[in-house]
Amino acid sequence: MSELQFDQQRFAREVEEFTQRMTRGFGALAQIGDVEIGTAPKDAVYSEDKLVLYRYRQPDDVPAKSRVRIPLLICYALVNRPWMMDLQPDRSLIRSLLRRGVDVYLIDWGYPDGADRYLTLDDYVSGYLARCADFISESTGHERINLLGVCQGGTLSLCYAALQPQRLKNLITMVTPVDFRTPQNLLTKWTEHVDLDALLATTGNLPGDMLNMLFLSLQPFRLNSQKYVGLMDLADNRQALENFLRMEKWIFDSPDQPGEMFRQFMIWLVKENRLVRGELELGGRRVSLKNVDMPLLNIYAMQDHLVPPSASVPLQQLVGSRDYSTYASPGGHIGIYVSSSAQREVPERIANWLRARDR
Amino acid sequence: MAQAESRAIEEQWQAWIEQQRELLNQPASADQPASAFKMGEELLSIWRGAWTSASSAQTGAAKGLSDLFAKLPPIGLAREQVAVWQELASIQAECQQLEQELREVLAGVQRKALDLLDEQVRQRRERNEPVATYRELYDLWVDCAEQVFAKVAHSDAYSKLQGELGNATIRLKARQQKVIEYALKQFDLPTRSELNSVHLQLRQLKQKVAALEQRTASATPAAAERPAASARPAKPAASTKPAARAARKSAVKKSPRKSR
Repeated sequence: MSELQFDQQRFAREVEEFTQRMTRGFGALAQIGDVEIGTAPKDAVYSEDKLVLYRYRQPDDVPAKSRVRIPLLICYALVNRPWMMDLQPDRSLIRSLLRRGVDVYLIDWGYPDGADRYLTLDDYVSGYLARCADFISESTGHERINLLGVCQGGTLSLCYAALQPQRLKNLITMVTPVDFRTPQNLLTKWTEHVDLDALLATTGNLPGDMLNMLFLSLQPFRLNSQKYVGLMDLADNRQALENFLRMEKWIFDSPDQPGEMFRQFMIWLVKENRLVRGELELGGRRVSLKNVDMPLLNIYAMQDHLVPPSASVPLQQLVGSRDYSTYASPGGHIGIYVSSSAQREVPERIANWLRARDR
Repeated sequence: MAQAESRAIEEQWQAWIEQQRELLNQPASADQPASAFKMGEELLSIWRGAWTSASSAQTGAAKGLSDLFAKLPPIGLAREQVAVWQELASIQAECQQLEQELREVLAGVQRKALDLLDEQVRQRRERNEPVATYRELYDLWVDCAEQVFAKVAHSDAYSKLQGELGNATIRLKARQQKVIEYALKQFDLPTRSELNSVHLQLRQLKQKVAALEQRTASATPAAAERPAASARPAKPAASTKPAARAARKSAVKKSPRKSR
């Protein structure tokens, strides 16, 4: 006999309540319409092909003594759009950094198309990223800048830091995979038997939808079902519904991955783990993490199912930085940007860390 | 609360869970989904959507041809085209076989998830924290299913099966592209292969222009006066990068675009 004890009337009430909530929820969703993300005031200061470099406007009320002198360039991943850094006014790493006196630049990689399928990893590291850094250097007069790399963008930033260490004053990596071959790396395991050469030869660029489906299938029951059942709990809370919609908008706005770049990333970095083994070469130059000798702050999320801590933590043993700090944030890959605890902790730590190294 | 009513619900629940078990124990087929939860089917449709978005239009035609030509060696004027269609049909059959295997694995996940759910419900009862609402039961089922799935997902067998299905689907798509390209050529329409060739040539030309610009820039006396550039290590001759100065020309600094 089952262990369940159900009250029929209570069950009927539950179904009735849920139905009513759902009706209200649909009504509320229909009223909200579209939502906006990435709205912090900014100016496009440089562009090249599909890339746009933005500089964010600093609030006037930040005291001069709180300002961080050296500009910070954020290098986001090519997976999804960079607006997770500024999802909404009260959940925005960028706005929080601006309020703390940090001069923030952000690379928007745009939407790669067929014309970009032959761009290489080196085109991104020694090309686009390097030129954005050069532009900031020359326009601000700082020969060395601060760089913050996020997820895949963190891996690109590490490559850049290894190839051009003299261009960086400080480096911050956030939820950045370095060691792709730890047992917790499920994405690595799943791509182990996939013929990536054939895949990219067939698809050209890797469709963003394909990546999304892959991410959803990591936790299929939670992400395809429970999440939307839970949405109805928010039916009477317009603000929470708007937050939900903003997140949905961000999650499913997925640019394609440039074919050759993605092929190199997956084979060289993920399958062959060349960065950890010191065997990665870009543009004929070896990418040695030992060359990464500037102060480094590595931030990772303790419950990250996409970039597990075991993929980020080994960085300390691999780089040449003597000034190395770590911050393990509670939460997951996305929670590190939007959860209320992360909103309180992460920007404060970054700003303080940079301020202490601003000389 | 009427005890009889409560018992009736419990019995209904028990009957339902047994029914699900029976369904899951039946061999799954493509026409008849194994579970009322349909999560297996959803996952499968994710795979189908991911790997074979272009295949659905071809399915009917390929099936008919595979029946007809599968065992005949292609001959005559249309030999090449027939061979392509034969390959297509053969790979399609392979995909269906692998999809069936994946479907069975996912049905197994649901079966084990139900077992775990039953166990968890019992444990909660023993702790005097019984499941009181259907929503609670649903959330618990999701937890159980994710727990079981995580174990399967981390197994070598699952990643191998996924890889095999993915590779078969890639081959299928490649053959479909071949068929479409052949048809396009008959009408003198551009193909993806031709476009790729143009993109590649364009990229090579950009590389050459960038190298020339870099050489020109470093030959001018002004170049030596730029401290930032001179501090950078020399770039290899085969560098794909446009010269920094050329890149700067495209900067929108002169007329910055305002964005919100």
